[in-house]
Amino acid sequence: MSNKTVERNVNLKSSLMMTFENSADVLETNSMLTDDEATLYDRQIRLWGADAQLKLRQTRLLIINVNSLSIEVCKNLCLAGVAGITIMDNEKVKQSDVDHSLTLTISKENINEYKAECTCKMLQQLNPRVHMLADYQRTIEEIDINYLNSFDFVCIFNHFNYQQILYLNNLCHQTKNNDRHINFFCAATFGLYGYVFKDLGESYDYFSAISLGTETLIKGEGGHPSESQKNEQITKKNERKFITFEKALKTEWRPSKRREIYRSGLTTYTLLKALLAFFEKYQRVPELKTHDIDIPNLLSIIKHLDQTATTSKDIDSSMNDNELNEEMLTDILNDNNAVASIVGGAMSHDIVKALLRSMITPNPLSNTIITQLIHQPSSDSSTAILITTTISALATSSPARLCQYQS
Amino acid sequence: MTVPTVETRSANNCNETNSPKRWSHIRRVLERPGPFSDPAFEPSTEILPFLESMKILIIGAGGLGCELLKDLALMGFRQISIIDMDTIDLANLNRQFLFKFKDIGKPKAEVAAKFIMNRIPACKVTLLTYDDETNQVDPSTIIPLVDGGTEGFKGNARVIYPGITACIECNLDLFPPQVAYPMCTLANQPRLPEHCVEWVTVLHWKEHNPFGKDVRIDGDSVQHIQWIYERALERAKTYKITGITFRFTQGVVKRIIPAVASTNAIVASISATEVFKLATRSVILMNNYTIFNDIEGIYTYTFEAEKKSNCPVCSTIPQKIELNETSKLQEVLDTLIERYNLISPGITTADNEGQNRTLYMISTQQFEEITKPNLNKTLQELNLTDGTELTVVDKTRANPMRIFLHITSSMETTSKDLIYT
Repeated sequence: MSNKTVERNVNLKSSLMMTFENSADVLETNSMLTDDEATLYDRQIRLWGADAQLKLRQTRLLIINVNSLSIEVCKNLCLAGVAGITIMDNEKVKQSDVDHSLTLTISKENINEYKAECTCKMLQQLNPRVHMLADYQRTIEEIDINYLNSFDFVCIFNHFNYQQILYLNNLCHQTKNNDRHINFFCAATFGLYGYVFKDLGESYDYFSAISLGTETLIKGEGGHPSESQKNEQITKKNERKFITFEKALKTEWRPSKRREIYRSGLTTYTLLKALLAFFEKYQRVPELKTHDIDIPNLLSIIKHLDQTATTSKDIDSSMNDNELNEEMLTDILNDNNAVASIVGGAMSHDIVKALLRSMITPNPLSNTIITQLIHQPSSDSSTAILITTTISALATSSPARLCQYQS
Repeated sequence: MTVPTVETRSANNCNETNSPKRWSHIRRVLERPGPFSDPAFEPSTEILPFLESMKILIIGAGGLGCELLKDLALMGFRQISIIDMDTIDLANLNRQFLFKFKDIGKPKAEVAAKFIMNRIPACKVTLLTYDDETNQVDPSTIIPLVDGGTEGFKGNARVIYPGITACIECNLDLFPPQVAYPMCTLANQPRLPEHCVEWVTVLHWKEHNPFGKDVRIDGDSVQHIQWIYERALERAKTYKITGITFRFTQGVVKRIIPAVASTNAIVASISATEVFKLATRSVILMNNYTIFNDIEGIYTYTFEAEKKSNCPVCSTIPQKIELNETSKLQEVLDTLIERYNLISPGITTADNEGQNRTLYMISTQQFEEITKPNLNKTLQELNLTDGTELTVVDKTRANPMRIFLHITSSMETTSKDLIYT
């Protein structure tokens, strides 16, 4: 770990980082896992190595918006042992939040408290080592590059204000530090559908072979860096250029080998674009209580999108009327805690993989993950298919089908 | 893999109703048709109270159990029983999120139940103990089983409807075989660090009994692991094998499986969704096995695991075993134990008049003493002829097994192997 990094860590104004008496402590703690940590994180260290665990321990995340999806991601990463999570949300808990009972972190005692605050309190109990911080005052417009520089990951959830998403995404590219990049994640679930998008920067390096974490990073254990006896490890360095959310949504779709996957991904993709367009027009998301007017409006937006679709001409891109009708659209206004767990779980994995440029088996090639519980009654298979950006849908008739796409 | 399973059993009475606003997201699925509804589904306001009255059993309060408990409680289930004989350990806290540091040492099921009941007062989580006599299963009801497992970034979930879909036994050969190193490798030609550790645990420990005669290896004891680690390291050095550390040794001895919270969350949610569907019949069920893997990219696959027509557990077709008439009853017992993974079977048969005859039974000491001599008798002596049907009971089986004996005379068979049909 370079001195520069140590200095930066110590000088952080944000109370995210634990304060230390002197930088020697920081260096010491930052290069080794304590015995307790080695035990606590044992099961995951066996999965991704001590190297990765140390990187996790230095990772700070900014989570924007409290909802069942963001809470699941926070739970997973908090348990995994990140440095700190700042939750940004300036709304208060309402009765309807309690009624929905989509998460364990909000109950009726919390009504009129800030969502960010009560969520942080509950999540903090999962792992006292993680620094949880609630920010209920800042708005997205107030975020500037100085603020973002104190994070490694910026994640925004269930947000359909397109301009704000673009603003944040672009801000992540303006980091002043040359040796680091701020990773941008944008995800949402709507009804049974969900997506995760990531932008890991214009020059993301990663190794494309297995490289084991060295055991010497665990305090108290001597030994030599392990050489695997099993097979020759050849690590090849690759670079990958990620694109922004804006570009991703404008990219043309390339047809995939499996039509059904392509089409199902198309549904989620269309829904995402529709919701963004809806927000742009009406400055809010469609809601259950106003579904009488919202759904027809959403439907007409979809029809309009269909006509201007940037999908490949090879595939019949016209929307199947049965798929996106009023009934289906009303359904997406309904939240589901299982969906949040599934998408949240996949996203947490993706965040960990993004950190570990040389880890077990990363595949940062794809920039969007799709979660889909397939509706077709016949058994279907899905493999990691690479096509242009996409989003996917969740339906409850089959278990989650997750596919991955790239642009 | 941790394998918690969920049994659902319909109850006779429906419990109290909710406030109309609560559980709104569940109501929307149950009180109106949706785009993914089962065509036979009839939405109604009665379904939610029915769901609340359903009795669910969660087996295991660990990685998957915690997630599953959370998911089911948030889906509106109110009568959940949970069972787990383990206590909380520091290494559990990276994923079993219902437990805190101060809970270390306490029973998992207890702490999990308390946490959920605290956050969702309407949900009642009961602890089951092993000798709970009131939980006898009524064999005439079919209880669906949802089974999930995870390992690192991989996981699976399946729905089992006993008698209708494949059961676990039907696809037992899908499970990968246990890793077992050949003795000669351990003793003479180790190549991998695992071989060195296993050499200590399998051979060296017994020779030296470092902590006392007949003291077996305790994976949770730091001293035991330390001793094994040191010896394994020595051996490894002799054979120029690297990679042995304390952690590695512990992993091999305890057969530790890597685990993270996120994979558990995914598999548990898939399982919980199936339980919800089973309880409400609102959407078509998973048919019937899903695998998930996001080591590289993301991959899921759902397929229909097929039922084995002669499955010893879920089919009604009787099993056959072949023996010689000079074989002793002991051999029958041994065959049954080995082939069907039984523990202590009892065997009866019916004679031509339909009278029951006990051949061997250990249910009481008296019985055991009376029937023990039979074990040494040959099938011929016991008047068991070709085609006789045996009834075998065992604590591993809820229902008795039917076994047909195919007996050959000593002329026909000399050293014929037992054939499994």
